[in-house]
Amino acid sequence: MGYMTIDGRTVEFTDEPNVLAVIRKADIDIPTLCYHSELSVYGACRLCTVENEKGKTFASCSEKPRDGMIVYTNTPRLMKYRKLILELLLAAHCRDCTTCIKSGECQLQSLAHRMGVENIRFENTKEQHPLDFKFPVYR
Amino acid sequence: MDFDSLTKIGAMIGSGGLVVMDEDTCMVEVARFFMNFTQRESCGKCVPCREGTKRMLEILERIVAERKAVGPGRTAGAGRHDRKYRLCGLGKSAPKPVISTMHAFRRRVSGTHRREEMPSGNLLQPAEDYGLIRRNAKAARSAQELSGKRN
Repeated sequence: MGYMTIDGRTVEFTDEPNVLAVIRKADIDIPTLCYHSELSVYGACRLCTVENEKGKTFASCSEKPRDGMIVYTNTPRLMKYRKLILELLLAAHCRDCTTCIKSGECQLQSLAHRMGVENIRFENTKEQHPLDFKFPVYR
Repeated sequence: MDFDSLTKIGAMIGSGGLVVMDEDTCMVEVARFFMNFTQRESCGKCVPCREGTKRMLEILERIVAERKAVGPGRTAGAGRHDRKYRLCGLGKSAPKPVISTMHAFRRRVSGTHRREEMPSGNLLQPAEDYGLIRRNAKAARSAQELSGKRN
């Protein structure tokens, strides 16, 4: 039980297990890829990183809410950082969106679009496996 | 020399070992060596560490192999942004070799260095870099003084 300040707004929390849940309850949309409310916290995608009043950053999914906490969710630094994470993920990803079956309902795709990831500055290092045509698939 | 005084200048003691290098050592190669270590040690759980170290190593390897630099933006970008957001201590200190090489030997990494190789097969010698940094600092100071006088 207590109050915390999120982006200048005072928000009450009761039994939320982590800061991310409080932020989402306050109708602020924070992107995540690895978080699920019904599973244990994994804290790997780091997209839910937020900043406190001292400029210290932490992953909001793995932090317990405390009374009097001050949290910023949308500073330029965090935006830049989220963009970089998506860029890093996409760099090691098969980017054949046009032929991908998940296209249109892909979280990574929609996040990249939303965050404005326009070009990926790193080389694509996804392993290329040549198709095996030695045997016919249908007989 | 203790933990606190080394932390103040951005270095760390680690297990207490010191590595001594002379001015013939290519600092980009040293950064690549340490980055290779962190990249192998990274457990791969969180994204910035798993992907970021890979990219930083790639860029350093390219600099070493081609003996010419790529733009500083990418190395710095991959390094600086990653640093504070990671899960564990390894991830947090992983980009340190890149950041400190960029800090102390910036001209080497940023592509503004002289292109010819040294007899040892390295690029520019670090001692010369330090000289340049010192001269630049001096020039900056005197420019500041000049503008101060004008105002």
